[in-house]
Amino acid sequence: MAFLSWLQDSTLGTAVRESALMYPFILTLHSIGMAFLVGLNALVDLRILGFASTVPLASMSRFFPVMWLGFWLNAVTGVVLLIQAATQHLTDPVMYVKLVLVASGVVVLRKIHTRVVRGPANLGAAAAMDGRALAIASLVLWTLAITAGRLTAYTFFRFWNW
Amino acid sequence: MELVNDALALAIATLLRFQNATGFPQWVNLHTSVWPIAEILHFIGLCLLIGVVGGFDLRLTGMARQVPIAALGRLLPWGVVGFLLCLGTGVLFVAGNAFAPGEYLRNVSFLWKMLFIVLAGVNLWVFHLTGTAARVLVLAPGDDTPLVAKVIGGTSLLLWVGVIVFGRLLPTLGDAF
Repeated sequence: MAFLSWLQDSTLGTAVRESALMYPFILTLHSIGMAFLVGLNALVDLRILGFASTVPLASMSRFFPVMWLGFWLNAVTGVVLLIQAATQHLTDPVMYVKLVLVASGVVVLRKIHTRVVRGPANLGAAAAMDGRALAIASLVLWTLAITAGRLTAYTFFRFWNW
Repeated sequence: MELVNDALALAIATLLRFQNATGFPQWVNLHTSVWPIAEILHFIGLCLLIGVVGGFDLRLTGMARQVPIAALGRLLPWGVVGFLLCLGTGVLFVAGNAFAPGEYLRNVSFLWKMLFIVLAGVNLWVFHLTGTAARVLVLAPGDDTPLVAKVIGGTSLLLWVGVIVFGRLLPTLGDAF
């Protein structure tokens, strides 16, 4: 707890929290990163699941740098957002759930990148099935991550109830 | 500007009449899970919108050139699903805000957000009206896109990112919450 206070009261934490501009700016970047990471991932997932099947899967590999950029933008802005309210966010179980879900989503995305999109040109039936399972897992994980993320805005203040 | 002010005043007055007649904000306020669920759906919708429409726009700017544009376009209905999710939940927010009824219609960030959405629609209309849509649909994989397609795609990306920005700045630029 003392460590969390130390984080929150650090120069960076205080600067962001007390600035009228910095906190909204960083939160906005976090939203944009989410939109491109999750959004483009969903685009690839939909293709893997068979929509617009005439798009060659391998051709979508050029979208991945944008996804990874979104991820790193969110990793950096996310750390800053955690630090500036460390005592609230890092004592909130829902935040940890979100982080695990995000990590899982990223692991699945990496697998999709290497095994499905960059995989051999003619995927065997087993590998194609594998791709579908990953795509479904990806969509589910990101939906849950968004849900958990949104809920931290409430569990953080602790007045939200079912 | 007088016209805009008058139109907004009319919109606010109509909204307040609706709210008084139906008690919708009170219903939303009473069922405390409605607003958070709507927010979650709003975020899911925006991700679908940015991912599918944004992905298509990135292709229009010339990224991922091996992706056939016509085929990629077949995913656009999912982007529309995202947009409709956002529209539906957005209407709920505007109509159901019990904390400060009519708030959003007086919020400058909200008004910019709506303007950017309208401009994105105009941009889409230009895409079709100029025949650019027809031109890009016959491109083969590997072909670069014409300059007008790059401009339209880039404009769309900027506008939708702007929509996210103004949405995020509702409590800051305006006075929401």
